[in-house]
Amino acid sequence: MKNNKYFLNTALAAVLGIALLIMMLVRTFVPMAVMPRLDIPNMVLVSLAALLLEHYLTGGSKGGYPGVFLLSGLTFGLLPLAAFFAQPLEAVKLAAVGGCVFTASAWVFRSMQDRLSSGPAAKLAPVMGALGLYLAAQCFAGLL
Amino acid sequence: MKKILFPILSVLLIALVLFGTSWALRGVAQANARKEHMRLLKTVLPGSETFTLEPYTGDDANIRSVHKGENGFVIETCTYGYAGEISMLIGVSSQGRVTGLTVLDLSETLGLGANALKDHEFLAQFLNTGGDVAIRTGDADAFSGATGSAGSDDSTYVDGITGATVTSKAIARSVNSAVAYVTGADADSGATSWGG
Repeated sequence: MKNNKYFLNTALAAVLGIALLIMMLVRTFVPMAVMPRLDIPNMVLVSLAALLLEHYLTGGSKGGYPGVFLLSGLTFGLLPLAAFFAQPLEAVKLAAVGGCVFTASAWVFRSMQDRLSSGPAAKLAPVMGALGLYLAAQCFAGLL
Repeated sequence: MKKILFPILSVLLIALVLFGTSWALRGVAQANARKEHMRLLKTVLPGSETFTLEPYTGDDANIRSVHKGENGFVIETCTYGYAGEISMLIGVSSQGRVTGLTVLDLSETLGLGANALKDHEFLAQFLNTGGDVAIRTGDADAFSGATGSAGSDDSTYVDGITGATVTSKAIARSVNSAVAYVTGADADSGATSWGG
């Protein structure tokens, strides 16, 4: 799996799949619970979780952005549709926005990753960096 | 080429699992949703045991659906808050008084507008009001619920959620719309003057 630049997309599918499965169970057994929406901040949150997973499991990867964009678009479009969280038209919109959000998150996180020191004392640095990016994404979404 | 096949197959496999699980649970999900919806209807309009869904033909865009009970109505409303739609169920007695209300769904800012979900003190202020509710703020021009004459001298003022005036006003608009449906303030309401 190491050096596979598309491992990131497998991680994204796994993270989003688990999140949707949990939401599906909550929707089934606590039907009036207010569910989080798949909006830009939550897409960034899922993307960063996948990026962290990739970082800790494989040490990260580079490049392949067109493929990353297409695969993440497929993931953000198909999985909510399969879980009945989105109608077909909405799924197309999610695919387009999700692809852009994930590719942008990957690009920013990887740029930051290059500059993080890799000693034992910096084990948590990627998590802290991801947290900062998530807060920035919330501010950005608020501007929109 | 082989490297890109693995994530594609992963997405397809996970999609299949989600679809299968959702399909398998759909019966339970629908039954639970119906049961929970009925429980909420009875909670916001105490004293009613059966409800019939009435067609809404009025022109108030805030009203989504109307459920008629034995002693009043439960109106499902949808208004725009700060970050999106706020869906609510509002019970209104045949006398045009609010008997209960609950927020079904919202996507307001966490820690601010999202507090409307659990801020019982805020929501309780709407109980037993008769419409024309306005949010009390420091700004003399910014207090209205923006429906009908809300904000006039006859208005009932309630304290908004701290840091979430837009959300508070959206909820006030919902309440005003629901009461207006029952009292007949909505010209196209199916209800008679006092909810008959």
